Amino acid sequence: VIPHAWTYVSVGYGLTALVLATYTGWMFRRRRTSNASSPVRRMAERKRHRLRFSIIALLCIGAVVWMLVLMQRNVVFYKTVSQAVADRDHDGTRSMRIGGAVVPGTIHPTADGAEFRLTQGGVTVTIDHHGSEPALFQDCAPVVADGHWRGTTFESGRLIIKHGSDYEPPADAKKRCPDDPFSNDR
Amino acid sequence: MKFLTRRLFGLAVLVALGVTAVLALWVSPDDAQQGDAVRLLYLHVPTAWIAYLAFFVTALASVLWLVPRTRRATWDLLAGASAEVGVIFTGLTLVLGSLWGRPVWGVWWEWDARLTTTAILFFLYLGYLALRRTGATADERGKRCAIAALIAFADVPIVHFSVNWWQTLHQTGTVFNEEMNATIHGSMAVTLVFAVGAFTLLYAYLVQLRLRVAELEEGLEDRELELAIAERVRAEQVVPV
Repeated sequence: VIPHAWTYVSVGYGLTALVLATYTGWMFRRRRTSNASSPVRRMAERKRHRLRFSIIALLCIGAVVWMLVLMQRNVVFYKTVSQAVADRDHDGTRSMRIGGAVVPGTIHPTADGAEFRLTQGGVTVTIDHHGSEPALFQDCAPVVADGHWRGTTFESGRLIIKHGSDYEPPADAKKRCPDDPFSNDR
Repeated sequence: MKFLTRRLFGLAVLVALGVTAVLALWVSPDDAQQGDAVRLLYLHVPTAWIAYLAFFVTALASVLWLVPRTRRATWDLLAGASAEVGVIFTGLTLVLGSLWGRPVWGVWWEWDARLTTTAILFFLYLGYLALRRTGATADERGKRCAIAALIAFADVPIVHFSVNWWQTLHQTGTVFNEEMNATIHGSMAVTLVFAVGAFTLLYAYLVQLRLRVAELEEGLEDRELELAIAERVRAEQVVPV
């Protein structure tokens, strides 16, 4: 169970309502006035604004370039367990992410985190995690661990849940533990 | 559109959004894995869909403006109005996604392909809106903006297919996935479809509102130019001989 789920939901719905109410002018109506007294001065003011907007346009292009650079490193956000094991010798101890499903009954708390087995595509590895766990971390959970190899064990410093795109109420849900949690994603 | 028609349209949108909220927050069930956090789905998906739709309309209006036979000043204004609504909804998509990601994934933000290409979409069209306020003549500005809109639109399919092309943290599509096999339970699907419909109405309402304001603003600008010329002429006439 996710703690404070309703808090996130309320903030999301409230924020959306606030943005729309402001944008439609239903709330926080603001009268736009110009300081310039004469039409000639107002024209000059427009010209100054043009320069300001050119700068904003350039800053946006800069932001796009910066994000493209950031994304390059993350185009393959994680390797599945089977891919990661196949590439283990090649990857060495470099920082990477590995994704699979938690094998039921293998989660053992350690002094600073948890040790568990992660499976995907018929391959299973041991993850030694140091740090906190996300709310949905449990048996069968689809997990992406951020860390590096140490021998045949994967040392993780951070866990992220990569949930699927299936939605169903608890009553309809069959207890499933997929061998390949990311089969949709190739 | 007449004043009364516009008011009635606004009222219909408000009712549709109200029903969406009731369906999403009370009627629809919680999710087996996510619990109540799943309710953010009914805002996150429609806002993302409106962003796609808005930028598509911007691209279409830009093409209509670029082709000499169909060129009308309204197309340029429509492109701008739609892009503005699109930017608002892209921003909402990003924020709502973050609010959903924190409880479910355990992170506010990651630079994965879907999230990053969406953030890029936001800044591309924010830049486009800024570009719309630069340039000397209407023709010059219109051409520059229309071309920019078409270039920026290339990111929309990249955002949509990013989850299929690359191994992302973001999940793949639920309704329009590669197998075209919707993986959502009955009443949740009904809520989602209704929400998408309501937001599409909202989009239409916002764009016509924004288009009307843009037309008025343009009229004002023309009128001020006339006034400015008149003022200058008057100023030069009173110079004593």
